[in-house]
Amino acid sequence: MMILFLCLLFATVSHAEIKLPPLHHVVDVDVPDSMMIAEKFPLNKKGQIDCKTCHGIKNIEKISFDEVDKDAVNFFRQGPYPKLTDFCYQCHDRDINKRENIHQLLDDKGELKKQKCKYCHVETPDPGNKYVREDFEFRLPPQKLCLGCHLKTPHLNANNHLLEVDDDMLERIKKYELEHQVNLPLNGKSITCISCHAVHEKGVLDVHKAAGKLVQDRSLDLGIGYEKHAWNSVVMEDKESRLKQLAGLSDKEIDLSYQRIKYEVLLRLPAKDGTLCLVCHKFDL
Amino acid sequence: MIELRVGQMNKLKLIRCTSVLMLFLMMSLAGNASDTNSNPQDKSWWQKRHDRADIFYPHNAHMDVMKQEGDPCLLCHSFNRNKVVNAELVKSITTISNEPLEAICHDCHVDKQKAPYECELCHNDPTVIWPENHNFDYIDQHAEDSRLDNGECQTCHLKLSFCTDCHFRRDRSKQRQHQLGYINTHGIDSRMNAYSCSRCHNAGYCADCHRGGSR
Repeated sequence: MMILFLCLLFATVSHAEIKLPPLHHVVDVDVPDSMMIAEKFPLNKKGQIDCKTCHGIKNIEKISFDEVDKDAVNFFRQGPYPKLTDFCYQCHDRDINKRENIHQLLDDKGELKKQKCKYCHVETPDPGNKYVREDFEFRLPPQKLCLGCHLKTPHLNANNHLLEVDDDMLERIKKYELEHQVNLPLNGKSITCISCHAVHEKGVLDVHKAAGKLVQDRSLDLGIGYEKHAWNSVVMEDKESRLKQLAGLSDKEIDLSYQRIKYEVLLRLPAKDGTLCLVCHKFDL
Repeated sequence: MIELRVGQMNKLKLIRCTSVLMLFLMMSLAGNASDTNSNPQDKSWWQKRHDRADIFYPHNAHMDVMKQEGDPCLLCHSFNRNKVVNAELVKSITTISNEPLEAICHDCHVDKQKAPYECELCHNDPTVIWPENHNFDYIDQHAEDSRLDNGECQTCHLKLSFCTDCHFRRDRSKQRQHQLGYINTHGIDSRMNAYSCSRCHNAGYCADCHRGGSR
């Protein structure tokens, strides 16, 4: 009886030690026939994927998750990798598995990829129909939809724009919408991502209608384009030491440069000449 | 470039003295005041940006030149792509990204003088940008510095009139005056130390009488 109790106890402790985070890759699974695993990623004796297949840290299975050094070079075998997905693509096919840009809603022939609408919409709307905003049912409240794929601060100075506007600014926005027949949708009185960003690729909505007006200088594959300003090197040298200090606090690269916008995509109004900014912002001097 | 006249300097001294007295009064009220100022509801973020009393950027005044140069708002108010998740860290990066850089402003306003170069147009409080030794009684101490390195003065005081407005003025109440009959003996002084004459008189002042250089 005592021996049975001890076995159970150790089994429980051992289980606790290898408790994995919710989004961890499955372990102790057979490799499908279609997948070729390189020799540098060793399988266990049963030919299955286990801890040692992906992680190069010695006896990682005996170290609790919180204590594993995730910054170690060999945390992922043959690492470090610039992106986590670069590691995934060592086994998984990049072309088949890469995340799609859900804003690319049209195929090569200009036909709507209706399935993609359902990333955000519950039902695929018919672009030919007349809708008001209330007709659409979204999978999440519109102000939260973007956060499924994008960070809350996908670019600098984003978070400090997600605010409730004052009455003056609200009036200016409404007036601009009327005068220029463009949509700058708010969540109540609050700015959201879609107040500035259009989400439907050019050609999906009627560009002559307010909701369909957008700036898209080139394909979404190429995305927004910048060119460095002549002062960039001076600006960056000024900020370099302070940014280096902050970079030490994050495992993500800090990307900053003094730049002009060359190409814009998916914006409701152009930002490169300040039109978008000046809808809300006005200056006395 | 710091176009402050003597009157303004004296005014600033007075303000500084008054400020010290006011400081004690303010310190007793500091608790209440800081509570009010730190309340995020009082001002929106874009209004708080102008609390930097030492720097002021007149946006409208720059609109045309920005358009000409193709400079968007986002050049200074960076919208660079961000991958950092930690909100506090992003805030720190954003603060650094938003900082104005003196060299860029001064390129037009000081070096090339393509734009107005009066310091107080952008720097509301000149005491923040001038050297520490300017803080007290510098008007009586500046002569030696200007003799040692006049160029150093000119990094801010771009116009020569900043000097001559005082040094060549003849209508001041504290105007130095020569004793009666000095006109008859001034030749000795001018030969011994012509520099002392030039503190007040320019070359034209001598030439008005000494035409042809014979007298």
